[in-house]
Amino acid sequence: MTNPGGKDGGASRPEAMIELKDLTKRFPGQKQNAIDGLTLEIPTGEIVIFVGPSGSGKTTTLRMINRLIEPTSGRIILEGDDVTSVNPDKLRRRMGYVIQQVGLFPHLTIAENIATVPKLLRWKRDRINTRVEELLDMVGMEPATYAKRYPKELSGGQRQRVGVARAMAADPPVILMDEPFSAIDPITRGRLQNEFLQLQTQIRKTIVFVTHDIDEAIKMGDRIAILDDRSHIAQFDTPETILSAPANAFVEDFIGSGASLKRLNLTRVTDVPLVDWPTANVSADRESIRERLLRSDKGSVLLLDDEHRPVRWVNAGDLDRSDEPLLETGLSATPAIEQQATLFDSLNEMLNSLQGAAAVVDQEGAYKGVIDIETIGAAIRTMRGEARQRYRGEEEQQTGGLESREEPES
Amino acid sequence: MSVLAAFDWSFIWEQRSELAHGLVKTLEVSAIGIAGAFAIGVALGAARAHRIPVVSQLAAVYVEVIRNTPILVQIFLLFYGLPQLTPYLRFEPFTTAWLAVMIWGGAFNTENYRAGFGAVPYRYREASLALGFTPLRTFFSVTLPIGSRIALPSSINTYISVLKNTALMTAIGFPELTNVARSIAAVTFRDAEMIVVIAIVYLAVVWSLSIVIRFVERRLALPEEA
Repeated sequence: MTNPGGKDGGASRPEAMIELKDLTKRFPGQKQNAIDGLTLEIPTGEIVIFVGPSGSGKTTTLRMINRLIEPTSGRIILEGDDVTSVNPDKLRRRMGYVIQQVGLFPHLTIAENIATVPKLLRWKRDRINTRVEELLDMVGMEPATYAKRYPKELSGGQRQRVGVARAMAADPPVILMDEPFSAIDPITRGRLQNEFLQLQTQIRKTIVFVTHDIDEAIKMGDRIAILDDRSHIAQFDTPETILSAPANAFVEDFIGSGASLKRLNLTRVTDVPLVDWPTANVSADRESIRERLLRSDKGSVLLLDDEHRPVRWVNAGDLDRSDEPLLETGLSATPAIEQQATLFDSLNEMLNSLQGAAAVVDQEGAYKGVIDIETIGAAIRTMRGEARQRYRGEEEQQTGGLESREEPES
Repeated sequence: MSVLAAFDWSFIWEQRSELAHGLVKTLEVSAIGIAGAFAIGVALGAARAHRIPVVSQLAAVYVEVIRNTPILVQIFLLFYGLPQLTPYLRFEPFTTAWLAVMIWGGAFNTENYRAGFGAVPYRYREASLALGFTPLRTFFSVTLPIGSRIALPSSINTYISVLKNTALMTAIGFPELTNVARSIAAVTFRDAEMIVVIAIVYLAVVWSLSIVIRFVERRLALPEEA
């Protein structure tokens, strides 16, 4: 019962993959509802994040979507079908599920773990094998190396990748993820988040993702539902709007201070224009480098090695100190910023390097351009403007658009 | 050593075929008993761990009765007590023998498996249900393989006890190894030789059984136990 194109729904609003209607849960022996009348539409192909303090019911809500916890009342609609009372095992095969501690079966190999659902669906052996290899490739793990290993032999990050592959094995339209990256060290977590977002641009699944970490929510979410006590929705909107126009004091409090800084997590280096910086090869002679420096308005030259990888920033003073080799003067230009990194990462790197700018590289590590404080300032101004426009636009709709549009601009 | 030196080894050698016969009976009863104890342990252990109504309570009573009475009393109850109740429950010594060790081992194994299934981390069952396994399939694909491995060391001890307990069948005149040795001793007055020789045989059998089981245990070792 999908209506293609969403003709009558308005082109800008994608049709809902999952609809939760007045979902309520009361656990036996409890005086008040754990989840209290939650109504929410989860649009097709988007990442929707449930975020909230502990006890807000976000995990309970997630488990009600695939009915690991049965709702006391309310309805769950999946792709237009009411699935509130269908066979839960069949329902769950339409929804991949990634849990916090992964839950890979310890007695099965990686390949067998990924193959659990295809086996359940009685796929032919060849088809299963092909699919397992495809999925391992997709999550960036070499099938020949990892297929025969046991979960114990993998790192936490690798197990999480396998968990994602297992959830996607039978290509379900929906994937539920319950704090999937929370038990992983910050560096690996950041990398997995980036890879997952990259993957999502290809697979375009409808993803419901639970986290308690607002920064993760901002980074991962197309839309964020900020849940208050008993899964009351405090705000359900895009990260940009939540950051620039928190709906109430609870949301404001939950975002915490530094909303502007957090907004930098929303923009990736690929989204902003890079600055053209004077560069030179490390083996170039000092005079030609000085010449290049004088011809530009920047205070320094970025030295690149033979593979075009950024090495050091040197300024006029560094060039004057002829007693020291060029590679030991100036400031280090490593680590450089990858293009998938956010402006937040870039700003962090700039502050660490004292240079006030950071070199951006492609996947092979070759120089692509430079990002500086100016770039970031401009990005912040743009975001603020966009968010304000959107916020005003919504208010106009709510208060009757025509009237406010007729008001003369001063 | 002087005791052993006084032994008449050629006498023992002469009795070898009769002793071997007894050993075969011991092994037969043990094999049936162990297989049965395994089946009872898995079934009732699962019922206990998953708190299946009625079955779980009955299993608890069964375990308590067996654990808190001497096995010799249980054997006598089976062999002499039941026929008093009804003539239909009159068993051959062989049947009584395997039935007794099976019921005894099953009770202890129920506890082993109850603990094993109970120790399976919830996340595995959650993952399994979330992947769309039915509860029954979750049990067979996840709880059973993982829980059995957790229960393995303690259930091995139970199986070894089952084998050793077959010696008590001498009390109902079943011709297993101990009974055969005692009969030989009774007519030849060579008690010391017979007792020592069957001790050595039991030791050898239990030891080889342990080696086999340890090997299996290592093969099955739970790969995630860090």
